[in-house]
Amino acid sequence: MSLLRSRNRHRETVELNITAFMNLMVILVPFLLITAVFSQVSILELNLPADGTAAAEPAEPELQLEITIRGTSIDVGDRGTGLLAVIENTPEGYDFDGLGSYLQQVKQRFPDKSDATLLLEPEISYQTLVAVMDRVRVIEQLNEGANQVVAYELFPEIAIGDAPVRN
Amino acid sequence: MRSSGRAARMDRHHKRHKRNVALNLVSLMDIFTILVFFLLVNSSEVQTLPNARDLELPESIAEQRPRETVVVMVTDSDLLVQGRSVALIADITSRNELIIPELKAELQRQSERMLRQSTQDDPLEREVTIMGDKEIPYSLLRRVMATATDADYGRLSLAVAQTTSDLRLAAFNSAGQ
Repeated sequence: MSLLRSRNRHRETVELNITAFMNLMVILVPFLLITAVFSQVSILELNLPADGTAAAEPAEPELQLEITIRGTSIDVGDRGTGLLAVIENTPEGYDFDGLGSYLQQVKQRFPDKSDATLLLEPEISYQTLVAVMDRVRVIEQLNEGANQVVAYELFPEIAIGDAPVRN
Repeated sequence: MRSSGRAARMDRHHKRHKRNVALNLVSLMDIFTILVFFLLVNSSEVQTLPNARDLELPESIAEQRPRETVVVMVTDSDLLVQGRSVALIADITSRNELIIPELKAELQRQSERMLRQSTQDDPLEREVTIMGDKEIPYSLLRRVMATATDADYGRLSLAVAQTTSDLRLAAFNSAGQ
């Protein structure tokens, strides 16, 4: 009895012919998976001084922030007065957090300042340059109450140059 | 070939149920349909930079989207402009001059082409995006940048792979708990 009923039920079910649709899906899914981009690319803009403005700049007496990336340390200095701080490497590498907190103090003293110059030694890797640029551009702080990370702008207009040879 | 008792039993079993064989594809169809729409929407975001397969971009927390510009790629073996190889890195490092002549010639050719396409004739507004491998030294990057500036490109951008900073990740994780 139960066998008969189940057979009848199967005869009544309408078979959808989805083979063509399935074929399409089977092709489309791997194709889209391959072409899908899961890593987002973004850009960092450089603020290169144009030929005309470069000459006029030194007339300003205010702070000219220079961050020199060396093999063993990151030096923060002012073009006019000289070295402000040397952030020595930790055993793990560059002390980016130390750089960030120091630059935050500088920003508090000069709130209107928004440009900085990065000076690099020739053998510094591109990844280090980008990591330092990140720290110079913004500082991220954890807002404990809301458990949210807030990014504060530091010196987003960054120029790049060669480090002077250390004497 | 004599089949074993179990095989015979299974044969009989299969014969008995042959009539009702129907693949249940409903859930598979569901997931495929969702996946297809998800991927279609995902891929519709216009990708302005070429896929960086043979180089590893440095990681950054920058959020600015890339624009449509001339792209200079610096891998560990080749120097490419708009996907076409113009010079070998070994050749460039063996010479000691600051300007890379092949790159300069190609960039000037590109800017002439761009000029015909648009009214972008102010050299300060011309832009080049540098996609460099994260291991390349600054000495090489500096020569690429100097060449781009020398070829009258006023604006330079560095392409980076976007990541989430450790602090944000920690905040996100603690929010989930």
